[in-house]
Amino acid sequence: MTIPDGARGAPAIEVRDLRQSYGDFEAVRGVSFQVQPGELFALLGTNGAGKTTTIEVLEGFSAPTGGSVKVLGHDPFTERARVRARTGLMLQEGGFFGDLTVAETVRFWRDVSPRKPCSATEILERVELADKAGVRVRQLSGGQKRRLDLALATLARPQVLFLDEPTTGMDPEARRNTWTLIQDLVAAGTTVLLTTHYLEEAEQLAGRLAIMHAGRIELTGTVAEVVAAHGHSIRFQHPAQVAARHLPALNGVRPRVERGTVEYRLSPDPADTQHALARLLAWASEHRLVLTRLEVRSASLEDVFLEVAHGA
Amino acid sequence: MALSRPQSPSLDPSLLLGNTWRVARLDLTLLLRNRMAFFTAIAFPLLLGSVALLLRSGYVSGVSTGLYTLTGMLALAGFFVTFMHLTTVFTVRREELVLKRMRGSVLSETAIFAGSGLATTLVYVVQAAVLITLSITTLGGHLPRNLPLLFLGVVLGSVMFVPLAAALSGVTKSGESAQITVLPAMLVLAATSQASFPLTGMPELLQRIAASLPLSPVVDVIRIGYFGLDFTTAAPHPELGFTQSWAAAAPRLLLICAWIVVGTLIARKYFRWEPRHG
Ligand SMILES: Nc1ncnc2c1ncn2[C@@H]1O[C@H](COP(=O)(O)OP(=O)(O)OP(=O)(O)O)[C@@H](O)[C@H]1O
Ligand SMILES: [Mg+2]
Repeated sequence: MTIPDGARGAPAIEVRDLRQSYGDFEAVRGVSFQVQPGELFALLGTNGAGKTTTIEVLEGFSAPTGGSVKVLGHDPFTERARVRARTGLMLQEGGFFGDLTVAETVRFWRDVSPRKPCSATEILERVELADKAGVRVRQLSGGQKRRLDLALATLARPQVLFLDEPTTGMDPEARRNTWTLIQDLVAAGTTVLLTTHYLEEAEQLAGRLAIMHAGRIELTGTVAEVVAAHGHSIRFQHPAQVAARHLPALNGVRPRVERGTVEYRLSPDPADTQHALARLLAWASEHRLVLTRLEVRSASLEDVFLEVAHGA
Repeated sequence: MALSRPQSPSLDPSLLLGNTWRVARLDLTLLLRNRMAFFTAIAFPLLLGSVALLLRSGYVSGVSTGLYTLTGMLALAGFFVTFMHLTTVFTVRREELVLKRMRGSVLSETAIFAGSGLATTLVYVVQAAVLITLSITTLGGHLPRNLPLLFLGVVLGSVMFVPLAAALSGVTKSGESAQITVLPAMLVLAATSQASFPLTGMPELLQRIAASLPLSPVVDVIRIGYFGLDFTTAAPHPELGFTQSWAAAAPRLLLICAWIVVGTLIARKYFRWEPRHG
């Protein structure tokens, strides 16, 4: 499924048929997408799908093996000077000078960056690390390091922000604060490319997203589009007195019975769903059955993700 | 991954200088905070130089043993301050993904290397001043006969080791193994540089090979600058005036520069910004 990228001006990020190999192994196998200025685009996917590889090519760490990438209209590898000053990045794993304090770390990176819109103190307050200013970075917890990393990525108010699993290891409150911070940046016009394993994060933040698997984009679009294409489902607890093969077909769809739950996967068309539900309820009263835990819902991002992960 | 040469982020010279200085200042802070780094780069070289203070009688190569050894150890100190220390620094920073972060920032590759090199060079210059002061106060020495030449020898001697350290870090797996990978280089250079003893007993060919290895010209330039004697010829070394000492040292200075070029080429091939997978 492809959804047009929209016909606004020049994209902030443009990836065309990107391929990237490590030796003989092709980690990214022909990926294309565009991110418009001020948009947040999320890359989801299984472990090893190629998200970090893709984002690191965009960050200018290496030249692509095939295809082309552009960030703010420039090649991030050959024109690093132009791109670096206007981008911020958070690596999947951040390397810190462990013997520096939190404040010294922020001060150093603030000093070297050409634009300094806020003071070191403000930066630390934004990620709620002000009380840790005097602590050596080595002594921070995993989630605190992630927050420090986020502070460093955003301190120069970049136009494009690359965030590789920004909230991994954060507690729920810190994660929500991070979401707010990212939403504020997007509202102010920052373009964000983010990878995450938290589907809720993508649902909360992403304008559009792509689900990658084994080096390819399997699905892309807005959350609603990706989920809608997946259709609706009707579920209820498997009534003990009915054998699985005696369950009715709804709109020609046979149910799947798994771990005591009956599930019908239906088309995205609401009229179909309504018809199927009416048919199911009629069947239940015919057989004098009470369907427990009956639910009708559109697919969740998780359903879509799992289907992609199982090799759709 | 070899050193790549895409366009550098700081083409602006004032930005490059500013960021080089910021990296140097950071490195100095870290050097004082890390016990291992402090020992390798600060304590050990000074300790080495102090060995000369025990040698209070006798003559080598036409000068007092104490001063001969002290000037040799002064040259050798650069090996520890810059080569050994930076090999460890670059290796640890690569493995801890600090180099990756630095490279992903607005810092140019030049500023990253120049900053670390500037920090160790500053430390080395201070150590040289301390050792020369010790030579005067305890070994009956004197101010260097050609101070600018000695200074240049110290600075170039340190700069030469920066790309060589970058190259060696590329084949070193961890901070601990850096202590081992530098060992062969240390043995070869210490034995062939005449830092602690003259090589007059060696066959001619070996002497010539020894004289062209990296540390040897640094030792010569420092001794020419200190004693005002021509250490590029066999003892007894002829005395040199100020201008003559520059002329005598010139080929040795050129050799150091050649090692800077060679080191940079090797570093481009072997230096890695990121840990190797698998
Ligand atoms: N430097 C490397 N050398 C060799 N193979 C690599 C290297 N980096 C990544 N790979 C391989 O490339 C594939 C994609 O890795 P990548 O890190 O891009 O995945 P990812 O989608 O970010 O996964 P995760 O969600 O686990 O972070 C993996 O199979 C990985 O083993
Ligand atoms: Mg990853």
